[in-house]
Amino acid sequence: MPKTKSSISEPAEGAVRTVHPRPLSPHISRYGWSVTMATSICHRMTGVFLTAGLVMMGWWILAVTSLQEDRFAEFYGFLHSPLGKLLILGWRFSIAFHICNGIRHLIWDIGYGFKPSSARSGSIIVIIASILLTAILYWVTFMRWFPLD
Amino acid sequence: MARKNYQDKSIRSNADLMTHLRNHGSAQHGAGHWLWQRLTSLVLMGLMIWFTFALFEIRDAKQNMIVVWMAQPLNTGLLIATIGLGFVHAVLGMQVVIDDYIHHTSLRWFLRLSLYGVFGFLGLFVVLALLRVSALVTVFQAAQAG
Ligand code: HEM
Repeated sequence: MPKTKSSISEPAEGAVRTVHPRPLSPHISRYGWSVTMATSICHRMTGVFLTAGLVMMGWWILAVTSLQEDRFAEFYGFLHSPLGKLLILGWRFSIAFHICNGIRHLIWDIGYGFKPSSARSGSIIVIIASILLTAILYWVTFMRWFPLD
Repeated sequence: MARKNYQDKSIRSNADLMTHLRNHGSAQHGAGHWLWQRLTSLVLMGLMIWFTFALFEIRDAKQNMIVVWMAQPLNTGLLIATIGLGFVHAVLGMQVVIDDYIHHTSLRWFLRLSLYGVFGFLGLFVVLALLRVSALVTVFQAAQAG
């Protein structure tokens, strides 16, 4: 018997397989956006964005611990540039969203929340909660709840 | 995903393949990957909340104040944990993203290895930098006290 190479697309020799047209799903061009799709892709985008944030945190630690003023100034210069400020806004939202939706993932993992209706309401709760949390984070910053004395 | 180069002498048909998949779980390291992604996420949840509030506390501080803050044993430990577990979680997560979108095998491996390499080295440098500064400050403070 020849060496068998198995894969779904190449049936083994002699295998009987009826091929008939199946409905194509998901068919991208026939799909409408749903709120669950939005939260799903958003979890991925915030995850990637947070990864960049973690690299930024690494740069921050290296800049501070270098004990050199120009390294420090370089880092804070970037942080206070328009791009830096935009990134910080993004990270505030990303932390809030990724944690809220991460909790939803963990709830799924222990076996709850799979009904389409709960998936939809879960998405909506996560969106509202993360926007609220982002606003609270902003408020905390502006109100200076934690000044360094 | 059926891997093209999937080879196992005991698999002679699609039915065998399905039996194999049912009995043995994931084809590669999927289960461990999944578990580590969850375990790290649980701890990271607490660490990220801590770090967010810590940042507000020190955001206007001068460099030397931040150094002293980083060198406090609790803060050093939590920062190392955040960077360490964060990097593990991020590498696991980014690998899934790469695997999903990059179908060209050698490019996928190049990106995977770059991911491991960049995060491995950066993580190592950051942890060493934290430990170094923590030791320096401790020695300095001991010298001042003594
Ligand atoms: C520094 C912090 C973090 C970074 C850089 C990060 C990054 C990522 C990335 C890149 C992914 C992969 C996304 C994907 O495959 O679509 C991911 C997935 C995930 N993250 Fe995070 N994350 C962080 C914090 C957290 C926290 C605090 C939680 C806890 C609630 C969490 C829960 C999850 C879960 C459950 C997944 C798996 C999602 C899935 O299986 O599709 N993450 N993360």
